[in-house]
Amino acid sequence: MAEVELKGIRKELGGNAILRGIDLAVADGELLVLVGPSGCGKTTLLRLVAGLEELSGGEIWIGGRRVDALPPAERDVAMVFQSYALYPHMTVRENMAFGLTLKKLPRVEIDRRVEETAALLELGALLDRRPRQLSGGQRQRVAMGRAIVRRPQVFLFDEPLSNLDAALRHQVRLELGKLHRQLGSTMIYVTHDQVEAMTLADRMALLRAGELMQAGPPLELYEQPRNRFVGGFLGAPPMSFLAATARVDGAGGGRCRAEGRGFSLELPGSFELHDGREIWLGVRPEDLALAPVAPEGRLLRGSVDAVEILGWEAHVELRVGDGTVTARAEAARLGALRPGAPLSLEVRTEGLRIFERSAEGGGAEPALAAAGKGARAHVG
Amino acid sequence: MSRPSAVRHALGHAAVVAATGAALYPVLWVIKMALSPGQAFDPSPSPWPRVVSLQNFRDLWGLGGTGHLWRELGNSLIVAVATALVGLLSSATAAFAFSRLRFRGRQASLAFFLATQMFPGIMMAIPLYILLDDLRLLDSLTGLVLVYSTTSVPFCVWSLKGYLDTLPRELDEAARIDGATSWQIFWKVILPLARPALAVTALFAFLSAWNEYILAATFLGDARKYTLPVALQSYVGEYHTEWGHFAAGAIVVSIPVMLVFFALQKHLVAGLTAGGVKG
Ligand SMILES: Nc1ncnc2c1ncn2[C@@H]1O[C@H](COP(=O)(O)OP(=O)(O)OP(=O)(O)O)[C@@H](O)[C@H]1O
Ligand SMILES: [Mg+2]
Repeated sequence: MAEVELKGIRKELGGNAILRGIDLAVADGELLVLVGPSGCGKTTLLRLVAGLEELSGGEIWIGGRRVDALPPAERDVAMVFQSYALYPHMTVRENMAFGLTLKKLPRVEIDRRVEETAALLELGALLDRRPRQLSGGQRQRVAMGRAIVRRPQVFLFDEPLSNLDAALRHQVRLELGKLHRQLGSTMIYVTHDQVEAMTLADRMALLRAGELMQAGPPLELYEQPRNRFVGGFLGAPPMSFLAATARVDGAGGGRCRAEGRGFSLELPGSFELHDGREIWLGVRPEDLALAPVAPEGRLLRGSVDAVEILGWEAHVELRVGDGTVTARAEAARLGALRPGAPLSLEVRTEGLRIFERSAEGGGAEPALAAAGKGARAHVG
Repeated sequence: MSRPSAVRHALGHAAVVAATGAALYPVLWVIKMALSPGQAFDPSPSPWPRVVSLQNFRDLWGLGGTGHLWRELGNSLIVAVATALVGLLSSATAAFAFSRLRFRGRQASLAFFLATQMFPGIMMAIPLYILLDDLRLLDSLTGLVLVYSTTSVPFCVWSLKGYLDTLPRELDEAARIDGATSWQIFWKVILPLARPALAVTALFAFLSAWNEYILAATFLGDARKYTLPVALQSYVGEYHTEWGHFAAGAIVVSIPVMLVFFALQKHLVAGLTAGGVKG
């Protein structure tokens, strides 16, 4: 059993609060992906778990043992660095065997484990090379191998694929997922890449400026963002936000509308907002469709700001009032759409997310609860 | 290649040949003096000897003459090698500590080491003389090694620390996670990677001791303890200079230096460029 529990983790460096009370648990055998904008403290959190940095507050438990006072070697974790950090003067075999040699394991056992791991990662033919004689992808696998031979309770990965090109990244990502299923070990994985995060994660944790925004299965974060930051962070292209005011028409049987500059959308019945409430409307690109005709309460009219064609698919930025929304469309259907042209989009209002709009929200205004089923947003 | 660039090529070569000639001329002159019999100064500009003889070298080795070059060469080697070893052994561990460990007084000690480098060596001659006298280490090679180490160790620490600082910290961290102690990190990870810098450092310490004259002449009174530079100087008298012996001695002094340079050349180039490009 090797669950990892982080309790109230705080870290200060040079007088700055880098992490401000992180509570997070990773179940045994789970792969937790840590995401967040650059500088939010992902690496720092990983280094704290590894024991490379000292906590300023809080507790770290691994496998039911409190480890935050233990040196790295006694925590039974392995870390794969972004730069790989292979020992340049050692061969691949020596790199992988280094930790085991220090533990004074019998030679035969070391050889057996190294060969076994090399076979798993298809490194067999490279064992006698030095790191500088390897390609980026091969180095990456050696770094992984050096972690795997030690059979640690917990693996820590700090953006291990960020130095690889897109094709190789795709391949190694698949291998990594397979490896995780084979080894069944607990893993904490830091990445910038949303695809990596979505595809690898059992659970995902999103950090922002040293605070945990939301943790849960990737789809839960995608579908039920707890606040505006989570909503805007996941998805490519990202969710667009329109400033609006809630209106409750007495005549409409208590139905809610969101009114803003240049639009008036009907909200699904599940939202119960009082009249005049200031809100952010979160619109995902996939909930916008090109539609010349649509019911009035589902229509966004505006002018085209920019069109990006990516092959089969295209992204259209539409200026609506003083905001913009991004829509995803089939490129072939766009014809010759030029910036400045008027365009109408139909909104799938069931997909709308609604967040509080206030001066002090700072980009992370909480989502407003929807009463109905299907949209169980948590107010955080 | 077009014509003008071929001309430029030739001109470039001519310039390089001229510069090489200018640099070699004095060397050839020294060789000429060493190979010419007798001790007179020959003012002719030709760099070639009129008569070739090895008499000057024979004299130096003490073959039928009065020289003790073997003894002086031995003394110099002992002093220079010992200075290099002391410099290397004490500076490698110190540089590792300064580069990798955080401890109280780290900044202060580093600054202190630097401060010792700011005094010209000659300024310390008198205090060192008194110290050596107290320690009964005047006229001894051990004393000379100690004196040379006072200047070479701080320099070696700084230059080696500078190099260690360029080695990525993640290597230490990876080793720490792998279960290595500080000592094991030093011995198994950092030291093998610092080989080029160690070579440069050792070479510096060796050369500074090998070439040093003033302190050696001050502390060594007994001719049996003379190092090569002191011995060489003894051929230059107040009224009479033995130019032939002096030139032959100069050549003998420079041979070990050249050998060391050639042996360490590969590391030297790597060491001098280290830190410029990662990897
Ligand atoms: N030694 C230090 N002293 C002071 N602040 C530091 C130090 N190291 C890191 N920081 C700060 O801590 C914050 C978090 O850094 P960290 O490396 O954990 O970010 P990250 O989420 O891994 O970013 P990235 O995605 O760019 O790798 C940053 O704002 C950084 O400036
Ligand atoms: Mg990072």
